[in-house]
Amino acid sequence: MNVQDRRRLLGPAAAKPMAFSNTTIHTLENKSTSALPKNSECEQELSLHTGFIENCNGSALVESRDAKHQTSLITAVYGPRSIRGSFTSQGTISIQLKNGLLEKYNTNELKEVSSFLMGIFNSVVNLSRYPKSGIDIFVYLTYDKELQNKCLDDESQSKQIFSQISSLIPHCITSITLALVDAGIELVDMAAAGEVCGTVVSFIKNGEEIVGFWKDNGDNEDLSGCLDRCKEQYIRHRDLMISCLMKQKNLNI
Amino acid sequence: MSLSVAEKSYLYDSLASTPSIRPDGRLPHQFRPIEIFTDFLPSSNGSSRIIASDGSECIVSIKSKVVDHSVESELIQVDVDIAGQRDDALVVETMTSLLNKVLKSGSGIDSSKLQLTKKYSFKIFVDVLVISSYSHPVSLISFAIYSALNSTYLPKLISAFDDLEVEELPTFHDYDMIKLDINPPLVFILAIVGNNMLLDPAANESEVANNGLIITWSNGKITSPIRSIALNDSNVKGLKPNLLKQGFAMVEKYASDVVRSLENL
Repeated sequence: MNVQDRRRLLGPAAAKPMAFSNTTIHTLENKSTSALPKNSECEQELSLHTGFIENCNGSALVESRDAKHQTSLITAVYGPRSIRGSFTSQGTISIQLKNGLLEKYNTNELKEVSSFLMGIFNSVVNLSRYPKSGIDIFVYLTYDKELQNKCLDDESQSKQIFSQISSLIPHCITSITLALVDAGIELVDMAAAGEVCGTVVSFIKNGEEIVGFWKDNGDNEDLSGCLDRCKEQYIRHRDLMISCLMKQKNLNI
Repeated sequence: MSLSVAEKSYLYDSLASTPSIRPDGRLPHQFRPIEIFTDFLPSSNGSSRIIASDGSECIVSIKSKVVDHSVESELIQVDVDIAGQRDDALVVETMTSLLNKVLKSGSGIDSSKLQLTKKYSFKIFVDVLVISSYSHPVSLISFAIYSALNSTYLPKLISAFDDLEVEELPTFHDYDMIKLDINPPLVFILAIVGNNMLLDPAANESEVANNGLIITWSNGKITSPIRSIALNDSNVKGLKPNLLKQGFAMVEKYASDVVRSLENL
């Protein structure tokens, strides 16, 4: 655990935190948890890992696989670190989304998603706790592949055309939330999201508040149904994150 | 615009009260007055200039090119330039990506209207220059694109429509032009303050807004893309699901009036 005061300019780069005699040093192990939801149309497997990158404050790896595609994202959180210049009463968040080996998405589409994610995390992170600080988040899209699957019927194939970047956003949100928790940054609540046919809805507070809404295809039909299905996915993702973090905590004790 | 903590608190309370009191006395659904000039660039197929009452100004130019639509499927391309911002700035790239999605052929624009022959189509290039903007410019840009596309004239085809059998390039009339008949989508921006929704937020209203919504309106109904957007860094909060429905209802109620006034230019 990092015991330095992150709100101030720190000492030399090589300075180490104080270690007390009765603390045992844990080697950071990859903690993972995975789930196979039963009631979804296309079964989605999620695998979450945290704290595996040593030189950042918090990190997370989210891997997902369902009948349509397979995705893997790495998120690294640096901060809160002091920023130069005039005093700011609350922290600022920057999120950068990068293509991995597959140059699949346009830069401007990725920037649009990162600005959407910044909007979400501006309302999720308790920024007033971090004056004069910056939190930098880097999301690296290691792997994102559309799978050709025999079980897909015509309807889901037509949906697949529209799936595109919106199917990625819930995993970005899960991954950033986990990395922020891993970095010990104070959050209002665990944010997660669900995606239904190009519509992404991100919730907090047990689905009572929406922090992000993104719709990429289709008209505004059946909004309530869409919100309910996204909420189901949100609850599943959130529970999975919590169980992953609890496992990690139990390992550390 | 930078407001003090006390000013922000005062403004927030007045906007969040029932009924909301906007600093310029507008109703929640009321737009600021805008001025639009069309067809003022002689070298473009269509153009428009829009000026909002707060001094925000935007110029849009429409140009066209004949392309083989079996090779190029995307027949509309939007390019945004915002004065004082780098081309790779977050706001510029986000706006470009959003407007390209709004005008994407198929969902936003009927690509058959751009078809010339069985093989060739017009490709439309929409160049947007935001000269100055004080609040979120997406709505202003979309109005400018709408009026520019509605004032666009393209050369008249005189060669045959069926060119699959006979290999020939499309030939155009020397001076006759045909009005482009497409129905471009409009984009509305709403600010959410407390439990109130405000259409077309000004800069000071955006600064205290809890959240924002970008809603696209096309052919008499709400369509994608729809986004929630943080209008500032400091005051952003989650929104209740019923506010989302309230915002859609507000756009559904007033969008057709905006379309009508833009058509009557």
